[in-house]
Amino acid sequence: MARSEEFGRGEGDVAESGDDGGDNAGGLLDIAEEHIRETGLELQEESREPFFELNRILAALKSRDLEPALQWAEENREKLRAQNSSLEFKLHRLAYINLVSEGPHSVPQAIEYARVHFTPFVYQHEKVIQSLMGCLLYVKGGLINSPYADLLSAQQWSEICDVFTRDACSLLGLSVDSSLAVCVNAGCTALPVLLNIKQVMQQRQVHNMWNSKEELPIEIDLGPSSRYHSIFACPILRQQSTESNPPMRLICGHVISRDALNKLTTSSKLKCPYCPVEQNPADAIQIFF
Amino acid sequence: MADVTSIEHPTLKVPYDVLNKKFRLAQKTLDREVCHVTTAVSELERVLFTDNRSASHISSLLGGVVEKLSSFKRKAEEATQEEIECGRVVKRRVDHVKEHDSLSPSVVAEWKRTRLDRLLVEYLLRAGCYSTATKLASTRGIEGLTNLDVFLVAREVEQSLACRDTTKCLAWCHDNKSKLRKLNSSLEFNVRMQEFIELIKSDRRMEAIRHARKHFTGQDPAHLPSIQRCMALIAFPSGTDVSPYKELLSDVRWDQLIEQFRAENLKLYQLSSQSAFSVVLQSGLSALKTPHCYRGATGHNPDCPVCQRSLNALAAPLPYAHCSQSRLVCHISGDQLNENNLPLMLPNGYVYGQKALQQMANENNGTIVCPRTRQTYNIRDAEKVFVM
Repeated sequence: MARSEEFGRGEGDVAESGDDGGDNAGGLLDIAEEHIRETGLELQEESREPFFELNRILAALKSRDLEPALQWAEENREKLRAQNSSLEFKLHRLAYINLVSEGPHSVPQAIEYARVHFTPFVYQHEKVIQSLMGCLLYVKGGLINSPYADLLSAQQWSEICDVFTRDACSLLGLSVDSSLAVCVNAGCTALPVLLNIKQVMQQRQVHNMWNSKEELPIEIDLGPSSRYHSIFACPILRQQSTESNPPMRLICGHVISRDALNKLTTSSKLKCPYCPVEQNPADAIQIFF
Repeated sequence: MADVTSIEHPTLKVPYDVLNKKFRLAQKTLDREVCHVTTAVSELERVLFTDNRSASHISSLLGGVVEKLSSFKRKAEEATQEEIECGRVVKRRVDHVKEHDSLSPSVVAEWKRTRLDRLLVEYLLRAGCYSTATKLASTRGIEGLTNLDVFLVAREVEQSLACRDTTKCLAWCHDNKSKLRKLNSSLEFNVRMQEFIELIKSDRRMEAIRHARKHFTGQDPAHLPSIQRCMALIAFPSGTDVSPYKELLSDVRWDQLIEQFRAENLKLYQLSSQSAFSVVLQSGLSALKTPHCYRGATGHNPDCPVCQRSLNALAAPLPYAHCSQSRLVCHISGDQLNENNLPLMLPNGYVYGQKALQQMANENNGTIVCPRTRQTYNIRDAEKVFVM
């Protein structure tokens, strides 16, 4: 899953860690090693450790071995709970389903497992536990023929790999998708737009259009999945908010930037541009998205 | 489609050029062989119509003709085989590029992953990390899709130049003579000049003069000043301090030769001087960059690529993304804030989505805790916010 990728740039060694979404477990780690060797870059050992461990656990999950994952979830129980993650419960659930699917002779074993491991989770996952217990009725006739057939599907396993990846990454403060991949895909979308505008600027000799080198000259739509931060653009001045020009909420609920607020204020009275409510500019609250 | 045309040009152009070159080479070879055959045949005919014909002579001539024909056939087969190979490479790449338009999202996702690998391989090759690049290409099975061969050949030439050996470079110049001439390249001349200088350095001045006679005549008149300077170098001892002759004798010229070779190689295949990977990465970083990514821990979003430490440093000199309309996301859930998920402001000024706040309130008896300031409020204290 995890791949440590680095490229050294001439000026400073900027090492980047990216994750890959699940295939080639460990296959790319040796390429990273080769690269380190070839460029003489140094990567601290600690930043590689988590990748090795997660790789190992994910490989075990793929071969339907829940032990390492359960161990990891137990060790990080507190942090997982703080994130509202139900990973540990889901792992226990899969183990229980495994036991049940072995047939009627393992039912007492399954019940014992449930007694031991489901108790801490009763409050949050009551309904799920109830249905898991209910499926015991159908074990003799075979779960496949029962309404609980979907418990046996292979999709459960790929789902658990996904859940594990997500929770582990957010625990470590990493992104699930490789940042590099996201950037490159965004770049491939952005590049033709930028080339286009460059051509237009050259053709029409409008070079002063891009006067502020702080921002790109044109908006690039990357789709809703690429919105990682809230961006507020003042509807009046059409500028992005900054530290010195934050969004302000007026009494009526409308939001404009501080610069717009100052511009619209006449002798300490302010009329909201959207609803003609008169108000005191000092009553506006700075908001944080 | 637009992103394919801007980025995939080298992918398709290079094998096409290689095919073109092989085709022309094959043409020339076949023409030459045809020429041999026709001369042999005409010789045979000539002998047949004279009186001086003896059976052994004719049979030896016939043998010659047969030999020429069979070598012609062999060369023709080889040439067509090579062309077919090149054609196959072109076809594979075209098929691959077509996949990006596929209707199935998993195919498109796989295609994007391959694209990233291809860009990385090219970047690594340009950076000189040849073994990493070959390893990555072979692990991912994309050797046929990358221009590895171009760079590996170039690497051989560069290594030989670094060892002060000019044979491979001259062979390369000879191979690509016509294209280099179209580019008005002075590479071959510079290499010959360097050989001349090396001869002077090792005090083999008579040989140097012979070398000059052989290679400097018939050169482009624009090179005349350089030739004059070189010839004047004969009069100076090897350890001279007089400039510009001192610069001519310095070793830095070899590095300049390597640089020139690299640039000409790229120009030959119509590859740009910057790797596509760095261009794409920069535009991506710029399109994703927001002021929030640089406000320290408060704005940090672990999913945002630009907030990652290393990319953050890389993106620092780039321009921000341009936004003319507000686009808001809830800090708790990451969902968009719009008419289905209204933004609500807590009394401390922090804004979250209605859905996330409602869920928090449901689980905690109506109380909500602001995740960023840890202050507690009741869900009723949240006020609506209208963002145009």
